Amino acid sequence: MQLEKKWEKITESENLNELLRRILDLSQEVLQSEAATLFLVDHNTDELVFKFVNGPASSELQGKRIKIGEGIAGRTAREGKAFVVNRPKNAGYTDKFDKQTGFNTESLLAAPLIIDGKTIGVIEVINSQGGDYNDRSKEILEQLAAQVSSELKMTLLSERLLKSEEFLNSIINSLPGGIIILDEKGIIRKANPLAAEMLYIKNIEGKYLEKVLPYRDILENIKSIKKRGSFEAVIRKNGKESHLNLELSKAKAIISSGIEKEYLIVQINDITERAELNRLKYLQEVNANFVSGLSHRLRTPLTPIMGLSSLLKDQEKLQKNFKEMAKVIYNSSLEMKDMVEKLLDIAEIETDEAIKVNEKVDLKSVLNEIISDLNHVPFKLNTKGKELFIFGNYKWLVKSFKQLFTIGLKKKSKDSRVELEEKSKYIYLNFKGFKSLIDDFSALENAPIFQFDNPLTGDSDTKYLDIPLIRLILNQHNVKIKINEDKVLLSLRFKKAKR
Amino acid sequence: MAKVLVADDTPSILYLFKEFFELKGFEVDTADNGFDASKKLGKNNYHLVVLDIKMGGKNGLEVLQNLIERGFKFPVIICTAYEHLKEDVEIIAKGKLDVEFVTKPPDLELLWNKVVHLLKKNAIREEVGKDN
Repeated sequence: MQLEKKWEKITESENLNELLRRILDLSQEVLQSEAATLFLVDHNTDELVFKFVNGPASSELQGKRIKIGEGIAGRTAREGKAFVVNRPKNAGYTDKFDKQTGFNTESLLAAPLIIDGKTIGVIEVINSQGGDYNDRSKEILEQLAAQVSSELKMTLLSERLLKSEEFLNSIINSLPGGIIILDEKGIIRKANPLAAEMLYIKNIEGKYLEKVLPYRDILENIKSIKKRGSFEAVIRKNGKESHLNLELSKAKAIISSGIEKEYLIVQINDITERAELNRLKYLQEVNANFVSGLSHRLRTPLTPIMGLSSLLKDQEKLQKNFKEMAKVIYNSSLEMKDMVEKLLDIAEIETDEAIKVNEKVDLKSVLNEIISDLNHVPFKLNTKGKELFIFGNYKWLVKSFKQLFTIGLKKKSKDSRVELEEKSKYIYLNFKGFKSLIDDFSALENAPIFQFDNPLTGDSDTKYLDIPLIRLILNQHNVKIKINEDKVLLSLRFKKAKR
Repeated sequence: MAKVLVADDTPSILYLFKEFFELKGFEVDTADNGFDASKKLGKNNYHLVVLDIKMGGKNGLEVLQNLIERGFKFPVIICTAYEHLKEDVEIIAKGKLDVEFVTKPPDLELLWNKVVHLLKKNAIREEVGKDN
């Protein structure tokens, strides 16, 4: 009750600085503390500024800064919650300021000042004179901090400040977009330089918008919006095209005359870059959809070519040279099938933008799927039979592993084997003794992505598509790839997902 | 003689599967659209059905759905160019019908392995059914 009464008295203060100072005094008094500090966050530098300091070291500390996260106040700002620390030196906190000022911090209590979920400052009391700070003191300071925050918000929003024209000017001039404020007659009462620049108009304050703005469609759109709304417009001037987003809202304010009236506020944002990005994205999608559609369609005629040549090449009744011909057609169709599949993969990556790796995937089940498709893969599991989870994308992992096995099996020896191993936080997939994998991976260590052939030698090989694609997929999964040419070892390190 | 129905709207693919299954000793029926396939499935008893998905009239998924609704138990191979439809097929057929999924163009050896697997599974089931 007593606290509430004191609070009421404080909020009568007219001046914000005076108000903050009186709140700090009150906190110090109520919590019987030797010193107290009110910090404000400087969002430009991510620092806390000692705004008001009460206590023996006040003159030395005033205006000093600490990083957010540093010390107890910094931690309070970063985590947005109150902290009680009695004997901070034992708890491992820095005594930088104690050393500078000769002050001795014995106990400390800090609470954040939060407005709309954002920490804007910290209030801190130091050295409790009535025993250690406890949960009750923490509760009191939190309560005071919440009241400070709400009062600060009210003050910031209150007409006391908005009434000031100077303040209004400084706000609209500092905004990252254009602003035009129109009165009920359509006369421009305020406009910032950016708005004039975006609309290619000059000296517009006091004039009718209709008279100064040459863009009829924009004027019509503005007129059609009754209370709140937005629209996009394109302006062409001096061969340059800009895309603008105009957002309209009505608000009551006091400008020049001192009488409150309703104004129309037009916010203008230049979205040219975004529009260009959207256009490029659209073109990329069209392109990818075309490639994807075409690849699917190619599969249909490829089916009888591959199938019939496959039947012919194995026909015992057929003459040897005809069987050879069929074999050539069959092998070419296999190559074509491989290309079609890669085109589809690339089209899919383009439309997906990136491979999403947010599923919990059991690496063992990925490998089991591959092994059931590929014959004679020498595979050893150095794990204790449990599932091995990572965060990944099942479909793309299957694709990349399948490719790895296919390349690996091109050149294998009797000692070649694949091993899945578990070591602390990681899972290793080791390809041992697969010369072809090592050769291709080493050769294409820094190769640009998706080459159809080697740009230097002109050598044409599917590896120029395969390896970059595998690398891209593994990269998306944060896999560390290690190649040891002497040991003929390709090792992939995956980070385990927590259970 | 084992009997297979192949449904696909591309004549050259129907020709391929006809040749392939005849070489393997099957009696082959063909349908070039989903309606025809459904009609033939209602009249005959097959050991195996090979279905394309994107076909005129009724698509392969609708034919599959129709087979399940009518209580048929023919094992099915879905052969399509569209790999992403695998999940839809699995959802429709899970626990109701034996289905294998093959992407076009299929490797005939792998396709044959799947055929043998399905037929064996079906034969065992029939055998068990007889005993009961």
